[in-house]
Formats: sequence, structure tokens, C-alpha cells
Amino acid sequence: MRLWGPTMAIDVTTVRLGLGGFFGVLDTELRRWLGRRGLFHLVLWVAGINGFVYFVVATGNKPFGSLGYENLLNALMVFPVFAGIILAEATVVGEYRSGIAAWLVSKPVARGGYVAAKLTGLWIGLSVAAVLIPGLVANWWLPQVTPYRFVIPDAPVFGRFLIALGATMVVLGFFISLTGLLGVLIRRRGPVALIAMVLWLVLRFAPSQIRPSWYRYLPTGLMKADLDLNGWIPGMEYIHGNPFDPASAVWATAATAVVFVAGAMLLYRRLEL
Amino acid sequence: MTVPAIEIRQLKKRYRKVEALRGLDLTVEAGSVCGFLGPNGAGKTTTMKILMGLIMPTSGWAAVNGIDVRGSGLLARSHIGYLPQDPVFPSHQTVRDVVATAGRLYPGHPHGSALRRRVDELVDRVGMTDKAKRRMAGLSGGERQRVGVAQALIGDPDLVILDEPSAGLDPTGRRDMLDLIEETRTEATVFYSTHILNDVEQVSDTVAMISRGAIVAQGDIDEILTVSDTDYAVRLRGDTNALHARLADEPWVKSINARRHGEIEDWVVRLSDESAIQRLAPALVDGDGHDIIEFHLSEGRLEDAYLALVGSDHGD
Repeated sequence: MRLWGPTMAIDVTTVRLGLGGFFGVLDTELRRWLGRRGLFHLVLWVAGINGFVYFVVATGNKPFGSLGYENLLNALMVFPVFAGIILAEATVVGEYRSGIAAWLVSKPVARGGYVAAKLTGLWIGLSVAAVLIPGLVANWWLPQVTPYRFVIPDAPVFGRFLIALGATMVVLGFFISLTGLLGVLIRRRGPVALIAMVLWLVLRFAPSQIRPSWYRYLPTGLMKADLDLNGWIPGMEYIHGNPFDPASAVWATAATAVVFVAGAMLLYRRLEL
Repeated sequence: MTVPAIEIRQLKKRYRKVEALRGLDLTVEAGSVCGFLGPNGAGKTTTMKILMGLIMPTSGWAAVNGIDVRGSGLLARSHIGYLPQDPVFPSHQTVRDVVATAGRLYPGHPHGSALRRRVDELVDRVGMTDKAKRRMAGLSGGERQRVGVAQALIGDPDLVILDEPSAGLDPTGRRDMLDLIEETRTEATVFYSTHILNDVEQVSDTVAMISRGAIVAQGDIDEILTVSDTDYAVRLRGDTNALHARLADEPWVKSINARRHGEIEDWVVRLSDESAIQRLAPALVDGDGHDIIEFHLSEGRLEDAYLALVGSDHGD
């Protein structure tokens, strides 16, 4: 008895974009994040990030709130991004080498759809479990231990905080997609993560003297001190005489991430599985 | 006219210096069970992987149900269920998860309880109900193979491609796999590769033999097994090299295909005409170092046909 027709419901738009099967693979990935994997990450990241911030607050000598938020945003910009690099490498290179990628693309799934769905699923899962929820938990208890609030002029307090978390997620997406592209190019675990981490260090610690004028369009602006309280005040941060524009940096970083994913999709089509 | 389930024309695949497929032509009729026979490295897996879009051919054309597997791979694969050689599935997933995951990748798949029912039905069909909640990491090779069949059938395919489905299975597992192929024939065309000639004779109605990247015979199994008056089966023991060299030089011997099993060597000697038997018989007993154990007209066994066509070729 035939339960469903094999040629039914192939979405023309996703096929044209080389994304056929995207939603099927994404569904599978998100189910993992809604299960034990998600729970494990959630507990790990909520405890880890908040424990780290509490440790800094309890042992620091600055005003509690300022120190807490500053370190919260820095921690969210470091640890989840490194985890994202390692998990993206495990997904792209690990599944290619183990044969799981071959299994999935032997189904009605385009290679582009497979790569895009895997990276998107990882980004969504890690963003929620390692950035958004730990950040919100910290935002709940930090003001309780200090009168200082996360204040940025011209914006609602909580809204600005959410924007900061959103910018962190964009940077996470940038490094996940970069690692995905490197994984498709190099296909060896170890070197892929190493290159991505070195790039993170270069972008994070590049001295301001050598930053080119297009610096503001790289995730560097979002990664460095710009994400702390002062950095988000327009006009406070100048690069080569130009004020740093966080909105441009967010859009440019997001666009670069999309380009990396598109590159990974194109290159994956040429792999022998 | 029925569109063939698989149609391949002049398919070539080159891996750097190795030519894996050399202009392969193959047709598998819809509704048949086709055994794909050939030695290791003959090009069986390469052919199947090209059909599944996992590797790209160097040149040539392949279609499934009339759909070009390169130009419309996604659509072609929506018609196919595939069991790879040495299947790998996510080790953290349970048997049921793997089959459900595969099901969700087919367009228009059922959701919720309908998908669960279908998954349970297939898990039961492959005899894995009692292990449905086990993780893949804890399963034996044979059990993984069974799960592989279930996930290949979940999309309700028109064509099922099985790459060495009974490799590494114990006799019971092999028997069960043959039963599964037998059951599947009622709902889909089955194209499977194997080394086990006995299996092919039991469940196939057509057979394709591949050697060194090209098809050497294909058709109904009865046609392949047609007895030829010029093919003789010889079983020998001992040093056969001198005899082989001497016979191979005779103008009335067209070919000698040999296969050794330990001390014993089986030959299928193809003669130029029926009368050459009068020369073959004395030539076999002539010479030292070997004993003739059996000598008779080839009986139309698949093994003899395989030996005659593929011979002692063990690939690249």
C-alpha cells in the first residue's frame, strides 16, 4: 500500500535555490535540540555562563552591575562561539567522513539543502541554548545583586540588551558559517577548527592601528569592546575618524555569514560522498 | 511501453588513474528483482553511487523511472530507497529514530501518528521491534543492515537499491534478507549487488554481470543459465599452471575461466565448437602435477555462467 507519492510536494522554490530537503533536515536537527542534546547544552551553558559571571561579580572590585554585564557579553562572545566552531566542524567534517552525510543526501535532499540546514540548525540551537537563555537568566539575577541597570541611551533597557544578545548570535552565525565553509574546503578535523579559532583571535585582538577602514563591516566591531556598554553608544567608538556603526556591522556580518553558507553549499555539490 | 526502472548508457567514471566504469550500459525493467553480480572492484558500488547522486560520472547518462539522475537528482531520489554498503547511521539515534528521520526527508511524508505507524510497521517487518528503542551504537552489523532496509523502504519507493545487503550476515540473517527482498518485489523494483551467487539464483528474475567496469551479461536469469554445448566444467586439484598455459594456447579453446577454493580449482572451458571436446578430454589427462576430480558439460549453474563470463577477474 502506498502511503504517499514520491513526487508529491517537492517545493519548487527550494529546489531552484539548491535547497531541496532543507526543511526536512532542519526539522531533524531542531528535534535533536529539543531533546537530550538541547537539555544538556542548556544546563551546561546556563550554569557555565552564569557561574562565570557570578564568580567575576563576587570577586571583582568594580561596580557590580557594570562588571557583570560587561563580562556576561564578553563571555557570550567567546565560549559559545568556540563551541559553535567545534560543533560546526564536527557536523560538516565529521558527517562527511563518517558517511552520515552520504546517507542523508541519498534521500531527496539537495547537498546545498543539507549543508544549509545543518549549519542553520546548529546556529538556532546554540543561539537559544548558549546565548539567549543564559543571557536572559543573567539579566534576571544581575540587577537583583546591584542597583546598576543595563542602561544605554535612547533605547529601552531590556530592548537594548536583547539587541546585544542578537548581535552576539550574529557573530556566532558568522563563525559557524565560516567553519562550515572551511570544513567543506579542507574536510579534515583539527585544521578546520584551528583556522577558525585563529581567525577569531585575529578579529578579536587586531590592534586598532592596523584595522582598515572597512573594519566596521567586519564582526570585529561586534566582537571587541564595542559590545560592552559604552561601545553601543553611537559616536563613542571611532575607527579612522569614522564613528562605529553597530547596525552596519550587524548587517554586514550577517550578510557575510550568508555568503559563507552559499559558498559551502556550492562547494559541497562537487564532493564525492 | 513501460519505462525501465533503471536505464544507464555509456556510463564512465575515472578516479585519477583508475577507470572504474568503462562505458557501462544497463537496463533494469520495472517490477523485476535484478541481481548485480561482479567481483570486488568491478564497479558495482560506483554504479549505485552514481544512481544515488553521491558521485558524479565522468560521462554518460543514467535515469531512474525515466528521470535523469544528474539533471533531476532530487526528483529521481524521491523514487529510490537505498541501502549503502556498510550503512552508517547517527549512533545516538534509536532504531525508530533512524527510520523516522529518513521518512521525514521524503517530500509529502506523513506526520505524527501516521509516520509513527509506518515506522513501527517497517521496524516490525525487518524483525527489529524488540530493539526499536535501542541506540544504533549498540547494534550488531546484521541489525544495522536490517535497519538499513527499513529506512530504505520508508519513502515507499518505486525502486530499492541495495548494495551488498547480505554481506557480513550469518546464515539466518541472510535468509531473512532474501525473504525481505522477496516481500519487497511486490511493491518495488529491487536492484541489489552481491557476491553470493546462490542468493541471486533464489530471488532474482534478472541478472546483470559486471567485470572491470563494463556489463558482460544481462537478462533473464533463465537466459543466462542456458546450457551451452561448448562450455565444460572442470574441477582440478594440484598444480594446474602448466595445463592452463598449454590449453590456453590451443586454437580450439576460446577461454578458460578459473576460480580457486583452497586446494581445488574450478574451470569453465569454452571451446570453439562442439567437436573440440574430442581434443579437450585427452589434453586434460595429459601432463603431471594435477588430478581431474570432475569433468562434464556445464550444467547451467549460475556459478558456471559467472565463471565463464567474469572468470578469475578480481577487479582492479
